[in-house]
Amino acid sequence: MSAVALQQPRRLRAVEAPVAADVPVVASGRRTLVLALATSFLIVAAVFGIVGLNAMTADLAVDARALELQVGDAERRYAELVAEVAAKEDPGRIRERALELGLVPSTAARHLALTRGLDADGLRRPDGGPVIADPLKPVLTQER
Amino acid sequence: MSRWRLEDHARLSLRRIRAAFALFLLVSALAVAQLVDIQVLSAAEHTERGVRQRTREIDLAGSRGRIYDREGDVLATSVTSATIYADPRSFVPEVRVDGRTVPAAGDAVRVARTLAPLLERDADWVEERLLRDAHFVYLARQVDLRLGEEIMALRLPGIGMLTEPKRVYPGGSLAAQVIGFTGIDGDALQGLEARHDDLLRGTPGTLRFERAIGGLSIAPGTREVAPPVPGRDLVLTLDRDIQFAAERVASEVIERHGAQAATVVVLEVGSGEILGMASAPTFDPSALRDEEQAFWRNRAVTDLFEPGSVQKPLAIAAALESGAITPATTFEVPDRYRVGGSTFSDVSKHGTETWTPSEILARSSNVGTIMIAQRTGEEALRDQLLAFGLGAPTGLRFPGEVGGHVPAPDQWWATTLPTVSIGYGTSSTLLQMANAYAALANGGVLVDPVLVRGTVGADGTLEATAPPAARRVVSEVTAAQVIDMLGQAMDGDGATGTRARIPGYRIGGKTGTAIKVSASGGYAEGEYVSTFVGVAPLEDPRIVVAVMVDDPQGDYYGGLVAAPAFREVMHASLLARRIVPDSEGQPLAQVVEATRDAAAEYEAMRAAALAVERAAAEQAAAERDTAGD
Repeated sequence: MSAVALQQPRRLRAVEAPVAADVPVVASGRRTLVLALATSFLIVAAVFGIVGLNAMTADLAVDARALELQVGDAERRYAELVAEVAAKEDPGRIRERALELGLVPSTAARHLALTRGLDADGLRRPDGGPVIADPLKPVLTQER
Repeated sequence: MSRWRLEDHARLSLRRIRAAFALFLLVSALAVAQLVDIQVLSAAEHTERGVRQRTREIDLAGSRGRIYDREGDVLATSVTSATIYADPRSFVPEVRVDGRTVPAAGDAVRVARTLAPLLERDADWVEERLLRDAHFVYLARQVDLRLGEEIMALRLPGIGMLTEPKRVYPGGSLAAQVIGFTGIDGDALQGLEARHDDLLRGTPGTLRFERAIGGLSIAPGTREVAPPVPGRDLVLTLDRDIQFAAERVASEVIERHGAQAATVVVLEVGSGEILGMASAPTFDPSALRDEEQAFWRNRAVTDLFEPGSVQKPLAIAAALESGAITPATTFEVPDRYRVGGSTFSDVSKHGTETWTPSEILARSSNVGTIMIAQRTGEEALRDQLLAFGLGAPTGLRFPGEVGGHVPAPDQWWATTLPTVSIGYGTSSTLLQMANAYAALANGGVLVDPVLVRGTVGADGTLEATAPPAARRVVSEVTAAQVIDMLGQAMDGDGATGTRARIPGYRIGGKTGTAIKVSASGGYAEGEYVSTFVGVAPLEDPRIVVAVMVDDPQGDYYGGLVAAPAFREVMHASLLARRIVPDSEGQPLAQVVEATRDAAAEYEAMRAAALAVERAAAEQAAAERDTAGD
């Protein structure tokens, strides 16, 4: 009986005792074993692969979360620093500090007329040209 | 085994197999039916249930836009703050359903004593909150995040922390009435915060993630983020330095003259941009509980006053524009004048003088102005005042802005014309008056005042707002004539605005002193409003400053109270806007050359002095030698 014949649909019937010489028992068992081993190996490898990939994904997701938190912290800190700088630049505070240091307002200010004017702070040109950035105020440009 | 028995056994097995197969089919059919129900018929319901069980959705707050001054200095921004809360259930023993008593997780007294100094509260206050019959009580809202982290590091039972955005105003009270403020929950309540809330408020986003039993996030699970859209930043026309100067001067003038309030408006001529708008007394939006609500008003747009003499230039402009007079027209002006059964008089006694409109304005003569107005006529005067923007809101659309009052045609009696011409019987805001002067300074074109230059989105580009509406209200010639008269009002004998002069600049302006209207009607004896409105530099007006001092004590004339305040604010504004004095502003090359010449001259003088000194020393040495010999 061949392996092909075994796969064909068949009806139940009385079976005669097999002739030992017609059944390649040893050869069929070895192939099955090889197939089973290979299948098992593949399954184990697949399982390990999936578990490994899953672990890597989890690891990367954890890293991503950590980075998100870092970004959040950095943004939060940036916002705090912006507020802090603005508070330190407050004209009232500067005046108070200047008075503490004994400074007095100038009564003899002199003025220079610069030949090169400073660009407007971020306003679009009237002719629809590019946005003009104030070099002193990057806060209103894309560099902010 | 015989052949019969084998066949019999096979038949039996076949029957069993068929039965088992049928049973299998039945079970499979049931399973399939169930699957169809779950996957198809009730798919949506089951999906939603599943999602609900394993996913969690968190709202991500869209950050509120910042508010900048015209040069990008931050006036309002948002930071992350900590809110400390307690779960009072943690401080009382819990009696379970089975009757067992679980001891309290924490000791309220100990926790209160630990937290009180950190929260700057009394321990009893904290303890009372910890022992409330509630599941959640706030202990502190919107405190510094580091303080929150410090408290959480103590690992106190029943104490938790939330983070929430907090609006901060780095300049404290700077421009507080203009910017306004938000409530503790982020709702815009006042000023530009409320006016432009739709722009400033961001759109919240959502974070959806899968969680395991116990609420822990599943790291590799689905994670969907709909990022929040931050609000747009608002760039104002205010100049922080000018605003500060205006506020400082307003506060000082209140202190110096014991006044109830002071208001200052600084406008840029031509653009209508408000560079400064100060009201004193002011308030700190970070400490609202300690402040009087009356201080929240932006008086420059919410408070009406009878302008008094600062309205006279507008009456003269009406006369010039209607052709009733020219700058050369002269009037015989006595110091008292009877019109419609009432007698109007000048502040200073004088004989009957022959004055031009310019001299009438310089002396702030009521009688002279009334004579001019009589030539103008009621209709032309009224129309011109309305054209200058009096009697209607300015177009700024600031919350609480009022329009003022110019009498309707049917309300003009015999005394209305003289009264209105000298600034009584009408009411306006200080911004309206400043804007009318700005129209004169702008060649007769009235521009609606603006407070917002534009908005900045995520790309950092400033999108300018639409230019404000502009309309001609008097001819260029009339405007120039009135501005010239304003300049003459600052100089000469009897001029009322001399204290507003700034060395190096030519200024034009007008004083005003009006008796206050009392709350019960009529005028309040002894209570005045002192004003000064002026422009600079006179040759090419760039800035208008208006100052109004409410009920100064002692001196109350506009020339004594408001004019010095005007001078300080205008000087600060001119410097901030880099407008050089008329006599200065030399080109850099010339200055460098002059400096180099001066240095060379100094070196030459120094060398000469050294030579003289050396010669003297040599001569002295020679004399010593001679004497020695």
